[in-house]
Amino acid sequence: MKNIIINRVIVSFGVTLALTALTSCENIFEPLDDNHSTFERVLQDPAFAEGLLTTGYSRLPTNSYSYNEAATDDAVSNDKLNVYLRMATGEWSSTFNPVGQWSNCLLGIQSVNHFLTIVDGINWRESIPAFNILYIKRLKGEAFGLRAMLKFYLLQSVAGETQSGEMAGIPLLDSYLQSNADFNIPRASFAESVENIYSDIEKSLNYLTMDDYGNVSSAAELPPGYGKEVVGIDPATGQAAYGNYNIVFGNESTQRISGRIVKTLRAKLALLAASPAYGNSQDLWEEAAVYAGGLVQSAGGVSGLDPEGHLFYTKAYTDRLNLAARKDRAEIIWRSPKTFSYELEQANFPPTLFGNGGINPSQNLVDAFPMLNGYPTHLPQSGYNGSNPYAGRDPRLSAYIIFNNSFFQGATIITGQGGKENAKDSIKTSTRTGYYLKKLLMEEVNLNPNGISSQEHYMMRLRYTDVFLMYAEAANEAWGPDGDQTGFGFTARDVVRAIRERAGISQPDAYLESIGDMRAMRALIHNERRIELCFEGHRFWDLRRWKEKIDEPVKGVDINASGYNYADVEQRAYRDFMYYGPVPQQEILKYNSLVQNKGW
Amino acid sequence: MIIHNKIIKIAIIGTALFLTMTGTVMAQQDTLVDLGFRKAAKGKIVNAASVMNVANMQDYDNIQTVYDALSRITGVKSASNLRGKGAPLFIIDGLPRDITYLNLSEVEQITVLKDANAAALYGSASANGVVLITTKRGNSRNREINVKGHYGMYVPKALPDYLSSVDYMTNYNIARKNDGLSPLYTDAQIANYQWSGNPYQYPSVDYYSDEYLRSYRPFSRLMMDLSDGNDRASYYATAGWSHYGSLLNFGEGKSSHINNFNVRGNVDMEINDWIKTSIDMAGCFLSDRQPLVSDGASDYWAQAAVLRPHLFVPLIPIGMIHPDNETLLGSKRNIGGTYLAGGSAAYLSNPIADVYLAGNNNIVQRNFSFTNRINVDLSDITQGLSFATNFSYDFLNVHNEYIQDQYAVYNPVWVADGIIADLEKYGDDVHTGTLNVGGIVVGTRRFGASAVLDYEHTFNQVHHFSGDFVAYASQISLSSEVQSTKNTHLGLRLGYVYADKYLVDFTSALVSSAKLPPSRYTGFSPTFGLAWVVSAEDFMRQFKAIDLLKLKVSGGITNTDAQMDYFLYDDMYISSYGLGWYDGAKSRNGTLPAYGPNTHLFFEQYKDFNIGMEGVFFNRRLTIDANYFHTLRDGIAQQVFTAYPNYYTAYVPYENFGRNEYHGFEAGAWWKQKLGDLTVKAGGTLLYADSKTLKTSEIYTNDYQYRTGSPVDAVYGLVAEGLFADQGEIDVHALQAYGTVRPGDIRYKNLDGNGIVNDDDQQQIGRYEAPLVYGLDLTLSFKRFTLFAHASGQSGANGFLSGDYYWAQGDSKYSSFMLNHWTETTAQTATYPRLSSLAQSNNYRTSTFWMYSNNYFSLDRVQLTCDLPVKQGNVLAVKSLSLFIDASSILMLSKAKDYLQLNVGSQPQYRSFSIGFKTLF
Repeated sequence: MKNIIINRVIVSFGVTLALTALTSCENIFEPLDDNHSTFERVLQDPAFAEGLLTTGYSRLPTNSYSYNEAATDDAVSNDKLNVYLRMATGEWSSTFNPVGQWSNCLLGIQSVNHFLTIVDGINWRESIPAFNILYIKRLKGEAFGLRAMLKFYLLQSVAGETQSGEMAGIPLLDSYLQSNADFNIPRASFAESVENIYSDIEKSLNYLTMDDYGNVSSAAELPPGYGKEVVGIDPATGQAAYGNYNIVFGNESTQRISGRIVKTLRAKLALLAASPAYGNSQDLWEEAAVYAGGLVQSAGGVSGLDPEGHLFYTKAYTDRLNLAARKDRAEIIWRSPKTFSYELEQANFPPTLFGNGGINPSQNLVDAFPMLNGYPTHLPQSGYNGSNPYAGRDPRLSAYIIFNNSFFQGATIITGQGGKENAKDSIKTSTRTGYYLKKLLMEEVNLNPNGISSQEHYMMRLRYTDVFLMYAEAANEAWGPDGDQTGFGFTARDVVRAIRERAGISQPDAYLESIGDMRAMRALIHNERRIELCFEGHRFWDLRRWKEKIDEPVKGVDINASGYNYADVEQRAYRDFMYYGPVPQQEILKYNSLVQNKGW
Repeated sequence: MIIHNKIIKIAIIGTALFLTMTGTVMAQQDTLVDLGFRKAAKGKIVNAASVMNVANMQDYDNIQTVYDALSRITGVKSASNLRGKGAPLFIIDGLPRDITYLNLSEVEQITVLKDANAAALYGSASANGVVLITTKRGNSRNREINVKGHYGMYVPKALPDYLSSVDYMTNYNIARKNDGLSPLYTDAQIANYQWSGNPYQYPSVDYYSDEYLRSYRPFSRLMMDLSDGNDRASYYATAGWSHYGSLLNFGEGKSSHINNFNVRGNVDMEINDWIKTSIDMAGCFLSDRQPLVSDGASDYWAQAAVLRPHLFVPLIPIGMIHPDNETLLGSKRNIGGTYLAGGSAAYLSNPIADVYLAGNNNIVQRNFSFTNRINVDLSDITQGLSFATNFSYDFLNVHNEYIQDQYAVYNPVWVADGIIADLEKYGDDVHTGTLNVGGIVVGTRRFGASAVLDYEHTFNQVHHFSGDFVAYASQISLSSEVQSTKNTHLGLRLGYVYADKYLVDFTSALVSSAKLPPSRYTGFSPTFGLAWVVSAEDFMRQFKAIDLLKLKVSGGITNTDAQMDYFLYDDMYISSYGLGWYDGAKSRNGTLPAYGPNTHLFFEQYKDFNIGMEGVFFNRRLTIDANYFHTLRDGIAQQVFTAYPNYYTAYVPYENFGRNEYHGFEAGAWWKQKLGDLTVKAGGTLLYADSKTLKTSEIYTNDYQYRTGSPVDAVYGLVAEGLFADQGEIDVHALQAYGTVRPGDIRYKNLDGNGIVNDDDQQQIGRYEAPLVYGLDLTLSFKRFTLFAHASGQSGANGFLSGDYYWAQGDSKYSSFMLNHWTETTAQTATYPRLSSLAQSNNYRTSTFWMYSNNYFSLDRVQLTCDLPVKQGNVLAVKSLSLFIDASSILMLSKAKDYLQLNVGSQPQYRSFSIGFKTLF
């Protein structure tokens, strides 16, 4: 009897054990170790630690083209649900803000601040002690520069007048916020915000004393602050070990934030601060002119303007960029690496070329292009012919915009009557204005499903033409069309002349020379800026900075047997407070120290 | 419309009447009920458990799936909703499994454990209740062969109704005019579409016409089962096959079908006089062959709902093309020598040509299921003691077998007289004929194991003690996910019954979680139940009408991690968008927290309370079962975003923060009466399940926007006040911040009176989940005939019209729904806002304008069964034979019938009719 009992107990246990063995091929009580990362890894793994800084980079609005021109008088989108279309036709609000940068930039700033709390303690490269010092210097220089840049784009999107009439700026996040932090952070005034960004720029330039990254070939070429006490001593020569410098600051660091990039940001900031929507004082314009002028000067003055800089997006231009051979062009201040793609073309090519015809340049923009002789089309001297409107125009028109009868990719694109799918409004992917986008697209991309071919593209983040025009604008406001108080050796008019010459308007052109006063020159510079920088995301903010008309209806053209008929395509339902963007409404609810801009 | 409401009301009142007056015995008090780790007589159950004996039901109701059967059980709203809380845990033969691959004819019994006390032994996953499904087993004394078959058809309930080309163009011109734009289509163009008589040059494609669709989808099923046994062993075996045809009547659509084959064998053996074991195996093989579509993402139905009728002709008759046309001669693929595929540069494929030329895809699913149980009788140690184990292993894999072809499309160039002068060709003809096998799309493995030490003994015929000690582990792994779902716990149940009068039960689980921080991974879930069999008291003897009356109350706490993810407590960092530099030779990922750390994260807790009664009255003619329930779901793990700035989202930790309440009432009543040869059985179930958000992460400008205090399924939206009649009305009304407003647009109430209508003016306008659901059953047996009917209904919830079919904007396809749209001339009678060729953000958003009440009453099933006379000892050894005819989803009474029965962009809903037989050998 006892044996039987023992037997039964043994059997029961045996069965249980067998079952346990069967099921425990994976520990059933614990999660699978999925190798996920924790903060521990941030401290151990330099690549992962640097990722905190990279997150800051990834938040830059210049990482891709936004095409927010569809919210301006330069273009419309043919996607009827496009967010910029919706915003521009009356939906823009503090809860629907496609141009908002609040959470995007502040997250970037928070991540950069996080990075700054750990940068000194990371073993960036163990082998040689000097490397750690050099890496920390470069990374801090980048971090402060990046933080300044994120603050700038946030400021541009949210700075504005509050109900009390004060010009408010951004919340100043200069330290990493733990989860128990006081988040009720007020916005600093516009002036304080600008000062704060300048101070980040100064900090950055203390580290990034060189304009550009690149290998040096002797100790003598080392930039200020990078002597032997920093880079170490080469035992063979007793000189500074410039090879160490090359590893950290050399060729392989190009396309990260450099001194020149930070200086460009400083010029942009100064221009924003001086603009009519904000400061608009003589001193501020001068400051802006000096910062931009310095950059122009360091590029060799007016003659340093890249002769093909206005066609920077073409295949011919892109193919000639060769970083390894240090052949980046004069136009480029900051660009992304080249990658093969066809997405931009797919989004914007006309339908017969298998594109979606997305961004449609407006008649308003087309009208802004002068004639080849330099005169605006509305002046009698221009020779403009209303029944042949695209003939004899500034060559930039046919470079940037596909109009009726343009020859593109081996075909004539007809946007008027008889143009089938390409004709205005004919199908969902047809143009709504009578124009298709050409700028930024590569004609060599083939979207035919029989043999789709992509091309190498790069994304332009900052370029010299912008800097030239910034100088022209600021110098004109500070000193007039022909003033050069600081002795740069070039004036606003000189810069405009160079840009128009490059475009193909032979110089001297009578129209430019006829410009007398600051006001007329201002209009011309604004127009040149509109043309040169179109579709690169400038127009939306430029109009607001200048306090120019933002509710101009967008026009298009119907071309048929009766000729060219111009009609409004889309209204711009902006109200007068919409020169300044909103703070997200939920943040105002959560934090009583935050003040909303007037009207929102 | 009023009639519908009345019928619904009558239905509810009728159900209530059943509760107070009438009803039948669903399960006798002495039937053994499977309660998971033990079986008990229904009379000895303390808590809220409902039983359905499926095997009996199938004699007169030929439903096929567990899903269909479940909604007939008191307290079950659907397979994904028990008592309004959410999806229950499904247990088949002791361990968690997928009910999708189970045929209802294999099922013996379904038990639903609804309250915490009943479900607690299933641990963490039992928080929403447990559905126990027991499959059939062999009978050691009786050899039986059952054969059942039926054939039927699915008929679409409704198909979308889109405008023709002419109507589309005319209305689109109106839309443009409303936007201040010139008409797009000239009168001459529209006239061509109307009068030319050449549908190839001026197409008006109707993807739902009988050119492309059959009027019904055929289906057939055949099933056989066999059971037998002797003293030592018995078995149950079944095999079934079902086949479903297609609604498309052309190309690949014609031959597309679903084939489903399933088998099961359940074997019981006695190893010796104290060890018993069973081995069950089941398999299901399903193949679903469908035409491929070129754009990959969608099917015929999705494309049919988007493509406007006039865009292109999907099929170009070769006969209309000059036979020497070079493009025609160069074409490699056409449709039956009659047509070329139509299209253009912008439309490189079309759904009709796809069905002919793009190839096909066969989705192959295989499910296998294995169960082993061992039962050791330990009564030698102590009377009433036994030990049992259960081990299960299931796997499912799904893969695709496809032939993918390409075809060129042609854009015809017409000359005036309806002859095609030339063809523009886009794309290439590629007929590969290669069968590709896609990787495992889904692979699921399920493990389960449990061991239970069970004790049950009655002393002196009055003191009944019972107890269970349970160890349980289960694991479900999906190929698509790194972590599998793991559940482990120990369970302890102690029960005492005094003289079948007073019942006490303590059931608890010590739950272990693999998801919680190492220091807080166990939770104790205690539950109590008490019951009093009032009818067993001496003083009740005098009430002859009362056969049984039991009152019961139970409650407890269930710790659960079912709604959480792994490592939510951890300081997790993930790689994010990166940066490339040095022309791509260098790159670095971004690093970003996934969320903030919280080492105090703990189980969510369901605090459950149930009070109920069971009764049998009038000489067992009426059975009633009713419960009131209340569950507090506390400590819901969520990120409290509103406590942090919006840029801080990535750093916000999970907390046990949210709290919801669910409460309600459920009742079922069944009545059975014999009137001569006529037997009437009637039954009704009713569930009223409401909920309330008690705490959640939220911040709003106005009090009425807060979700706290409203049902969990509350819908927030704007309050519409009709359409703006003219610009004057717009000018004096509050500014509506959703884009340009014109006459004919929806006018919204400015709730906060601040002069701007925006998201701050959204209040609770309705709810998604119907709080009241009910079902009615009627079985009439007269001699050889049995008529069965089942109806159901719901009340108290809302639906919202949305999507292109109801919201015509931009370039969407226009349906007949918008025909009564606003124009200046129809301003007085219009029921639909003005049309727009642009985005219409003002009109097309959640508001009372698009809200409808989705109350309905539906006749779900009717079946007439006839038992044919069978001569015993006939040649075929047939013991019984019955024929039946049935119909499903027959009739719906509802104001919202048109919306509820219409699918847009996917296969239609069907009603079905079938005819079949059932024999027993």
